[in-house]
Amino acid sequence: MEDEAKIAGIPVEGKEWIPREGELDLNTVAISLKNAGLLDDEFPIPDAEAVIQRPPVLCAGCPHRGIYMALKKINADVYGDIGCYTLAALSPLKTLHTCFCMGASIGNAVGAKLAETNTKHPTTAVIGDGTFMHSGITGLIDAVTSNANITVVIVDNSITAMTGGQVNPQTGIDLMGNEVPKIDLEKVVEGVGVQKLIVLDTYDYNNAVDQLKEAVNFEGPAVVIARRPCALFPGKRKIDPYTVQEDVCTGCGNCFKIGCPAIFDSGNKTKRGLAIAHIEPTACTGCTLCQQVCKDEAIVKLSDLAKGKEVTA
Amino acid sequence: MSNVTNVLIVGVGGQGVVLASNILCEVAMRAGMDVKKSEIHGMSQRGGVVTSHVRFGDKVLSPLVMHGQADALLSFEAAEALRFAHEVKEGGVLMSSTQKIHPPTGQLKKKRVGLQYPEDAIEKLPDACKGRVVPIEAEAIALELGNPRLTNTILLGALSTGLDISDDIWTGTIRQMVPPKTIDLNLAAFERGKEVAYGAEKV
Repeated sequence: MEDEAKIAGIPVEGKEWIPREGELDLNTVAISLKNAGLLDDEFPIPDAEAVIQRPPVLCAGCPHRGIYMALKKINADVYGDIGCYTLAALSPLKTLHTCFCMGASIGNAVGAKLAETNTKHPTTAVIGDGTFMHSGITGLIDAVTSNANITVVIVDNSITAMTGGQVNPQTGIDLMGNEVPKIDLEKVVEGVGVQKLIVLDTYDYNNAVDQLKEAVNFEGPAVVIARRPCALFPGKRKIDPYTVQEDVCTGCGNCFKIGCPAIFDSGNKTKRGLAIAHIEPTACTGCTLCQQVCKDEAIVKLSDLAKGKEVTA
Repeated sequence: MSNVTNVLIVGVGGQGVVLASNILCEVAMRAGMDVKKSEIHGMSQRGGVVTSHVRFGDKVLSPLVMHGQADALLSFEAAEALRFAHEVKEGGVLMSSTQKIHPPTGQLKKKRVGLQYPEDAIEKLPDACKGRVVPIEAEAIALELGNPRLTNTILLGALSTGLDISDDIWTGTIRQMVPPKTIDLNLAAFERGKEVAYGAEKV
């Protein structure tokens, strides 16, 4: 704008005073104006206390969590894509290894496999249902025609969750709420020519691990549709929370490692000094994934515990 | 601009920061003021930090509160109160729930995370904040009332004691904006919040 104004012969100053990078928050603008001689007051930005970061994680009850736990278990190289599931790149899941652009995951995985990347890990791509419809199909066609030995995991939560729950071609309604034809994900995958297709439920961890193993052992491109509706959209899931029996928990930390925002350090320690977990009842949706990885069978349904039932996991 | 009140509401995703700031906006509007609000909540449903800026007065031009210029900081969580304590201006007030929410990554590989959760966040607040600090045992009060989700209304009750808006407007707005089944509980929570804040002022 400054350049254009100058070309038009208008005397103007801008970049000299206003920083070209970083957020233009109120104080930065005010300080710039003061330096330029337009304001008299001081607007210092006060020093902030450094406090532990609170990075975003997959939601409590997120259907993506189970499939990432399984991908981690089989030590997969995961070529990622863009959506909520990209959050698995962060601690503690750390099971998504690239993120380039929408639709890149399958192409990246095909390229890595064809380049004979020196890895003993299975080559996989993870892409959401919305992103797959948007720009994943071309990549899958490439995987089929080049007979790439990869596994494509389509994480199907049946909604565009990261941006606030918009519809996608699988939803069957358009933005105005009118009914429109639904695109059948399985038919698309089969139509493209994929010979191995597995549909699984991401809340069943052991089954997901077994099915993934089967898919990666298949010679040629395989597709796994990991299906579960989003925990938030279109409606929040009904709550049936679980809880930790503190006297049973041995502090193994398995439940911490799944990165659930409903699971915290209770502040109490085991005799060996390990942190005992606490499940926040208002946040837990009862997806049971933490219960499935709990070594000690310490995680039980809160309602069962309250009823005084004999609780065995 | 001088008669504009700057309120910053902060917390962790899922605590009710957005509903609380919506109620505050509605209350200020019903009191006949010009109101502007801005939220930063992109990743916040996923356990991140939520901040909501609310500004109201005769004429509000910008929705954002300038750094260090908040008249009131309402925090739903102890570490978040510490993170934003510097935003309170001299003569302002920081009201914070003493509730602690440890980020889920905090238990892992503490060396790599770098910072640990500030267990003494509430004790540190008076040094970190230029304004008056009012800690509120909101979680305990909410549990006493029977629902942990009431903390946001308790904090609004506390905040209301520092604002020149009639109780009728507050209670009328809460009645309309909270889930119908929880109206009585929320009104009770609002009253308890007021009591706590008035009690703190006398100290």
